[in-house]
Amino acid sequence: MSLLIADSIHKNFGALEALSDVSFEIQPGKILGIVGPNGSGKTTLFNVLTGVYKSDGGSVLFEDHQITGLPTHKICRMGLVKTSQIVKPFTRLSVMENVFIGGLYGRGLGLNPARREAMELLNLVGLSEVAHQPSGSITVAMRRRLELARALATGPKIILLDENMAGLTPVEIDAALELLRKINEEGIALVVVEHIMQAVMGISQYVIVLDYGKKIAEGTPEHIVNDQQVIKAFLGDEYV
Amino acid sequence: MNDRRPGRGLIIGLIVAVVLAIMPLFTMGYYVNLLTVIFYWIGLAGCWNLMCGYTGYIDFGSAVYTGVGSYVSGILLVRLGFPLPVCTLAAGLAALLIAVIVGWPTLRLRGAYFAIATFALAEALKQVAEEWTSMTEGGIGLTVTYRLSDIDYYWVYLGLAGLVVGLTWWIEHHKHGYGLKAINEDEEAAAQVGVNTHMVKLKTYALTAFFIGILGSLEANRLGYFKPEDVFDIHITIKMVIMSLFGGMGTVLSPVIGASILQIIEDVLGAEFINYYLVIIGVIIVVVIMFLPRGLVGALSKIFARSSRPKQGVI
Amino acid sequence: MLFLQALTNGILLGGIYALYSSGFSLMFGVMGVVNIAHGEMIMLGAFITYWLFEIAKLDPFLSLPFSLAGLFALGYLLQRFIINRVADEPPIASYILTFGIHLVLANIALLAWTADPRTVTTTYSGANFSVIGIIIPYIKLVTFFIAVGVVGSLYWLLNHSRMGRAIQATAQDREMARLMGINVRQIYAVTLGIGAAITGLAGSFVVTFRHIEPGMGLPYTITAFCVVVLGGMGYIPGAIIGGLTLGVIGSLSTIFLTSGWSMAVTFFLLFMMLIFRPAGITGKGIVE
Repeated sequence: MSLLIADSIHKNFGALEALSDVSFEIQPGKILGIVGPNGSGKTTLFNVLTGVYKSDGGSVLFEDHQITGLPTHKICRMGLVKTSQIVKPFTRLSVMENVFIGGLYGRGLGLNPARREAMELLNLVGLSEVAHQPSGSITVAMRRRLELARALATGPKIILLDENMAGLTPVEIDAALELLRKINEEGIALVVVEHIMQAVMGISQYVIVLDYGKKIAEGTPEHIVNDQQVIKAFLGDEYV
Repeated sequence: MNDRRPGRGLIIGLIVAVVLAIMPLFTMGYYVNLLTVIFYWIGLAGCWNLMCGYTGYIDFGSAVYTGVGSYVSGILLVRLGFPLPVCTLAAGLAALLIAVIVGWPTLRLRGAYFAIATFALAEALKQVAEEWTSMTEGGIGLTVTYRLSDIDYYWVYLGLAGLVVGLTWWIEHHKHGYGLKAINEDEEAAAQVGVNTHMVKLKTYALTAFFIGILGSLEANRLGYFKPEDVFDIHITIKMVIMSLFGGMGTVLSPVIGASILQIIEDVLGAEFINYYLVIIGVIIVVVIMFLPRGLVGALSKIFARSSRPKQGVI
Repeated sequence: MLFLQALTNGILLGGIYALYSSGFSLMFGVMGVVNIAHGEMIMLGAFITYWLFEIAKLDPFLSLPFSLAGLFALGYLLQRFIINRVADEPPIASYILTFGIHLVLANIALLAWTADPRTVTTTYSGANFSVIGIIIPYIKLVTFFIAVGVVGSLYWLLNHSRMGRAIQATAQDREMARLMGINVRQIYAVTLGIGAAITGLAGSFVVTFRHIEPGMGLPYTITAFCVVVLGGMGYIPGAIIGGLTLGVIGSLSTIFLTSGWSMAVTFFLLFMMLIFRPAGITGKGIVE
């Protein structure tokens, strides 16, 4: 059984067709990469999947349940969660508190179990030392790991990662990829949106390419890098 | 950051509470009266603070629940002769019911809509009270003859103030409080991690409305006579707002500090100087927001830490 | 007949509603400011006209430029030196700030002018004409046309002038507007100035057919807000639609209910809109 099936998603903003007939499937425990130039609709797609935007057409099935039109928090509790491109921790709360909210509300844990789980997750992502610092005071790279820990706290089956590695140094990227692999080994499916080609291609088992809101190609990473359409979309006609 | 165990603060608080509780046995008159009024405002401001200070959703119509509370309990007492506790409870429940009905659609939208809807509701129900003379005696005013003794009000208000403050403390340190803080910071992100933002806001609103209704019912009783414009008065809301602001919105003690200080000032100034007082308050609010939007007893910083901005649009 | 008279009254009233609500909508649409002191701007415009009439015997219609200019200056200065400071803060800051401004303006006015109700009665105040039995006061008719004209001009200005386009650009994307060389702080100040000016203008009209007093502001602020919700927050033509709707429904309801229920009717309308169509009748309101 597919974990997530997106079928013919449409989303318009006035006259702008941000997403047009986008369809794909995700199997449990797999890693899907989504690539595409800026403005191709990747963030919009994540927002539609998690219920932040209402789609104008098509449907989303999560474990065979219709989730189109459900409120975001319900979708989260069912097991589909995303991280944001612009990282926004709850700055008033400490690092640990940011994470344990996920456990409290996303997983319905009690205060102490949620705290314990949060500390474990902070350990996993390497933020244990700053657990009790105000989350507004940590670096951007740390904030991205915090986003990830917060998402993990909700007990997800899929995490949608929206440019979680943007702005990281090559060393940090390698560490981030390692972390993602570890998470995936626990059985959590990932959908990775990134600009950093090597990162996406290196970790994904399957890739889809968006351009101007449409899916223009899909396949294994090797297949994609050789696809004419993809090259044209990214680099222009001269390189085809 | 948040110490779950009350520790020293609670011990100090308990000592203060005991002192306050036994005070009227030794002295009556002016100070007890002043304290009674202060406790009443701690209760009211505490409710406003719990809803608005923690969620960031400003309510300009809170007085509607003192009005509803006063009239529901007043009518039940005078026309149906129910005992006071029943009337007061009914008042609280009526307020809660209205809060749920009004809050349900408005808390789904951005804060501006909630602010205006509550504001308009207060004016609307004030008019209903004025027009529905068969029930409310309209502009003539309702007289409530049954009354507790002064010392009873002192203790009841002390108890309610303590209850509201205690409840705020409890909420802040348990699950609901974290949900509130998350909503205040970034509602979308809160939903992303599973917070049912609508229900968290609605529950808080309903809870605070309940207490405001109860306080309104008791105060109507204490005063003995009131008209619609007294109990649905925008100035009640204004006082709740400025008391919460002055103590620093969004902390447990802010209503205690704000209500105490401002009520004492008001008492000292006397009724003729209300307008001057309000001008000065207004100027202080403006100046503080201009230069220290993150100031005011440190707590406002928690509200302004929010990084999201309103979306503007096409004209 | 009663129906047609009420309908006419409602339409005429709707024009005024549209006028003072469009300023509110403009402020919200461009700067995200919910102006709790809006009613005070109406009050000040009304008093400017009143005092010019009392002291200089100036005809209310001739006093319009003064209230326009006066309120423009007030709005501009308020935004430039005060409200601009919270432009980057979350909306709660502007509510509290404009609330503080409301307290200051309303109470200074109360101290200066006392709470006595006042109005402007000219020789032509009662003059009217009738059409098929419907009485139409000249003042209200002229007011209506000026009001609609001003709102229409505002809309035209926003869409066809350089300043207007700059305002729209700033409304849509402040950072981008800045990068394009638009002085955002200045635009905000001008916008609030314009919004305050037309609101003050409405106040000048109000004093000709109603009693005014310094504490009158809040119900007007509520009404403006309701009109704008009905028509769509941030959408200027919506102010006309919202104003007419509220005016007509309010007026028609007086056939069955006394005017004492007007706020209850307003609230009920508002409430229905918020449940079923928060983006307003036109569907163009900013909702989120």
